[in-house]
Amino acid sequence: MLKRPAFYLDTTACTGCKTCMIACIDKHDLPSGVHFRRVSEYTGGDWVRTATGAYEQNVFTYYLSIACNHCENPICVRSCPTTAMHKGPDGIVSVDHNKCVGCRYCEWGCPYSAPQFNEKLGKMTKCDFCRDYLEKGMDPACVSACPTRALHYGELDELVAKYGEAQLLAPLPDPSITQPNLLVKPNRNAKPAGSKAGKISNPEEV
Amino acid sequence: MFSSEWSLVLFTVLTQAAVGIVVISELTRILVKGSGAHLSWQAPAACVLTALGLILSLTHLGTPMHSVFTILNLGSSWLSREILVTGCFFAVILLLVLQRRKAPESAATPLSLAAIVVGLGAIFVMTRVYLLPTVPVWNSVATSVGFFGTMLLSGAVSCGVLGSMENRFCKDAEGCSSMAGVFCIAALVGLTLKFLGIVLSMNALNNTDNYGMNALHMVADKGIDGLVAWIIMVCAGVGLFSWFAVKAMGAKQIRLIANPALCALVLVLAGEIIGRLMFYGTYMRIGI
Repeated sequence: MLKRPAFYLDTTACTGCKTCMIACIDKHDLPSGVHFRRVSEYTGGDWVRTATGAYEQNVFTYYLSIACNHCENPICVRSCPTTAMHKGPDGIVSVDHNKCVGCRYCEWGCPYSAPQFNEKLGKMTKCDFCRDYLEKGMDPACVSACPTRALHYGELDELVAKYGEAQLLAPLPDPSITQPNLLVKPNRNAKPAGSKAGKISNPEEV
Repeated sequence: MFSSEWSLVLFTVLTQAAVGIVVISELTRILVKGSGAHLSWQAPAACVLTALGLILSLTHLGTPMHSVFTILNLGSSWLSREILVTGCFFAVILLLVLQRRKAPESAATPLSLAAIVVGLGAIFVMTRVYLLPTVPVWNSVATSVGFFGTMLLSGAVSCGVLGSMENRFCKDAEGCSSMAGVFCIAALVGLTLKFLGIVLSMNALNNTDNYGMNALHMVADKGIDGLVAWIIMVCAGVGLFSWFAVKAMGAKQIRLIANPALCALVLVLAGEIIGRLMFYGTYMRIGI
């Protein structure tokens, strides 16, 4: 059993194909509009004047496949009025449906859009790191589905030892708010955190 | 731009109005001797408004049957605390109403003071619910100033409506009409807070960008009609109310403000509801 389960995303490999999203929807049989994993497309660029007086474009795009980061200090758990949202001994943040009142307050606070409201259930739902798969020794559905092997998971310390410390890029939020268990490898176009160079260009998809 | 969260809009506006009614009427009862005889409709009205607000808040929930669990996380959740304190406020004013059933004109009791303290506490906690570090549009002093402004503004005008109707045949013309002055001052302080809140919220909106969109630009683009309507309505409401309150004090006849106060209440509540729909509608979070 993992103690501090974490995801690792290699944005140099991710093509934004959204297979991870589809695999997640399929695994959890999610209704339309409920996405435990979302692939956001961060896009920007402009015309820039070069030394010769010509104009060149510097358009860029990169993809961020983000699910719940099972944060060390999760804002959803802190703010949930019923204690339905909780962090288990396995480090996984999940919702106890016997308590959830469906007030959607966790949804307001989470800067990763992890808690998702299920209209039919009247309750919050979210990524549970495919807990049942992990217990059987299998990989989470999103990780095993990724065709470019851009997505990995494991114990945070082991991932850090393998891939290096967490790096922050736009448009991810300040990690000090929730201490997410997420490592991202930036690609050559990656903009620093807080940058306003781009915007999420597929909001209706995520 | 305008939220569809009607249950939250009505819950917050109604409970803030109820707290305003209690705070203003009970303070008057404490400070002005003998005023209790003219202030017997306020506490029952606040009780009805709070009950209505609490019932409406249930319609926001996906699973209302689980609402008993909502006070389990008092240690860290401001929402839990809000539900508990608002419930306590309802209980205290219900006790106050029951205590005064036989002698509505009685002087203020320790329970009056408790109602004021718990009521103000409820507004404070309600404010804290929205001060989320990930929602910079709300995480500002503007939210607190706005909520306390709504409390004073709608509470004062409601007190005016109730007071003028209850005392339309009042023989103590002097005492009755001086109450109108207290309500008028409270309404003007409330209006000042509202304006302060609007200016401060513009600053908070300008500090927020998400999906490449600046929140202040969004208001300028799609919310100007609502913002103007909100400002005109609360100003017209308070203007109307104050004008007739001054006239009533001059003529020493509180019944003069009954009809204008009712119009003022409609204007203020409608304006506040538009403002609150915009408040929820400008929700914008940092992150992804």
